[in-house]
Amino acid sequence: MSHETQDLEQEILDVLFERLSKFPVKSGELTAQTSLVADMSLDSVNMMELLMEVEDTFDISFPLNMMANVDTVQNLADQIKLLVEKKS
Amino acid sequence: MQATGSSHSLALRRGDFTTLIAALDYAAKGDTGVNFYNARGELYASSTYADLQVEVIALARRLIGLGLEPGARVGLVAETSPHFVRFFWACQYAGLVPVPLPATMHIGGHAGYVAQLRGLIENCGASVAMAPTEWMSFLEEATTGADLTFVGTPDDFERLTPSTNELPTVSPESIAYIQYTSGSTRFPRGVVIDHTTVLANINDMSTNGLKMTEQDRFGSWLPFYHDMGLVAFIMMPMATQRSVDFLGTQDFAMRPRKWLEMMSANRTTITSGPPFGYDLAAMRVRQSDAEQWDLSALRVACVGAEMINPEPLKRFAEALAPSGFKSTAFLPCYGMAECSLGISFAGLDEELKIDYVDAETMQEDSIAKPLDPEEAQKSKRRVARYVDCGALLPTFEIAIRDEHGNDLSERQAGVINLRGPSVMSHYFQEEAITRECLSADGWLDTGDIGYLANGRLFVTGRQKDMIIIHGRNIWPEDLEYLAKTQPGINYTDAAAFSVPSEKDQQETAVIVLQCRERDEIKRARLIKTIASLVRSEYGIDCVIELVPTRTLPRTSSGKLARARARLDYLGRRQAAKVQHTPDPVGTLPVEETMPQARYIA
Repeated sequence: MSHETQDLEQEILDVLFERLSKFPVKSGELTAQTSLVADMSLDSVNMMELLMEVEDTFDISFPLNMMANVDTVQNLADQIKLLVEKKS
Repeated sequence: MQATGSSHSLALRRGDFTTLIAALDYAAKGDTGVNFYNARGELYASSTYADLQVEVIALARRLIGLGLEPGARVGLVAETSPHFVRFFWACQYAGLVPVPLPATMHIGGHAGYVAQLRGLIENCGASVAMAPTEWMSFLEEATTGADLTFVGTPDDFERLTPSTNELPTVSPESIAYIQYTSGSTRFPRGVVIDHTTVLANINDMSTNGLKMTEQDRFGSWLPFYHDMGLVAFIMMPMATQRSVDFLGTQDFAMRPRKWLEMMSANRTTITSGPPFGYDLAAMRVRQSDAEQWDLSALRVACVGAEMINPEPLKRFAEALAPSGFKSTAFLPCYGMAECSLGISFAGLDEELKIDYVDAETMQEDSIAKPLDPEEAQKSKRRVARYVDCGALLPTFEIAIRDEHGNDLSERQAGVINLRGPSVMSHYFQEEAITRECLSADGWLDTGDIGYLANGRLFVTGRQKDMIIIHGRNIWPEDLEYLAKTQPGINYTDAAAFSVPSEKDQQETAVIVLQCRERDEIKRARLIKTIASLVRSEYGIDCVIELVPTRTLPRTSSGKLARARARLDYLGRRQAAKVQHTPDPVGTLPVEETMPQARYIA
């Protein structure tokens, strides 16, 4: 993995961690492996808010269907990374 | 690109057509049409009804080329896009029956969504199915192994060979569409509506409910697979030759201000939404936005699809006052897919009216006895408040009945029964369920509870146990089913319902689960597993309470008494609260907590 993509990934994770920090994690700490589905209680309104912040920060459009296979914070970061890379 | 105009020389006709085809043929003589806005609030597609008709007929010929039986079902993944509109109308000209399918995705919701699509496609026996490109992989998965004539994206349909035969003659009695009342995987109910039925409702709503004029223009973010989105914003504007502007539901959920911006730019006069939609918008509006916008033309902001709580509406009106929005634009209404859409509307240009009644008399005797809230405070009586949903549309007959079917009188709460030309013919291939709620002489038992006072309808709750969150219908059986998929949970161990949350009185789903497990870690894991199943399939947060066996109440015939289980749960919650707070009596909310009713569900 090049430094650049590593940096991008870390940047995305940092943004997600910051945004997610206001939601309680049911067990343990918030990490990349935390399940958004099982470990956190985000409803669809919270999720939309998070996605809007992600869209604004990275200037991308996040299609709803990409949520289908997202479980962990890492999964979400991977999808966002794909969109950011596709843009440039 | 420019949005279609609001006015033209074509004389206004309020849905008085024999078929939807005749309605589009007429609208195509004018200059109005449909417009789509993207997440950035930019117009990205616009076409007049005249242009639309040309495209629609070309697509209809391709559909006819597939050689289907008249009335064959066409499943349409109903993303907010011009494709859905084209396919919906092409099905009409081709004599086929469009069936809107949900286009909604929750986090980690892949399997749940595919199962939902498969269930609906099987239930309506679709011969053809369409999904926009981004949704195609799910549709492909959902139709694998199913015997469909054609499944494709809009582009795939473009490559079909058009039929050169004449377009079929479509009779007013033929089916116009099938509307699923909930996205339930296991309990789908397809409401069957024919041309005459939906047009009768559109005629009645536009003439008497909305009193439409030649200056009207529609604007909406509602999903096309929801009856309010489909009937009020796809069919009604077309059948009244008005322009309509659409913002995608997801785009609204992320950026509700775009909806207001769109309506300001186009001087929209009619919009609609559930209370939570207004609430979401009010939360995001900044004073500076409201000052820039002009919502003074907005004369109708319908409120429906869930129990109406006046607070979010008040917040919205305050936040938007600088834009010229008038609180008298709020128009509470009551309706449901089984009646095409609208049943009653409050008066135009009126402030929200609330009926304050004695909560105890209501609960014990089902009588809505007026009670002044100040008086109640003094006498320590509890007050229940219900929003006035207005007078019935003139084509409806109403009867409020007790559980034995006897007619009740003024201010007596009972089951709302309706009859009229907008009522569905049946639930698709569900004879037994249809017979349960639709009598031979045409009376529909809505399952909603309400009362009449001075000719106005007040909806107070539901007899049936449907859970309604954010305007979406969820069957308790579906949530219970998810719980019962866990090892060690028996068929009789779960009860699901909804209650107003302690935090903000918003409806919240609850599953009470009888559980023999004593290991705390395993109990916590069980709660977590079920909550995440619910979240990935329905996108809602759900409270899960574990209780000892034999806690859940049953009827004499052994059936789960869900309403009783709900009251028991509220009792336990209240008891826990009393334990934790020293003096809760003075802080009890005044309003009574009643089960949800569906308002244009």
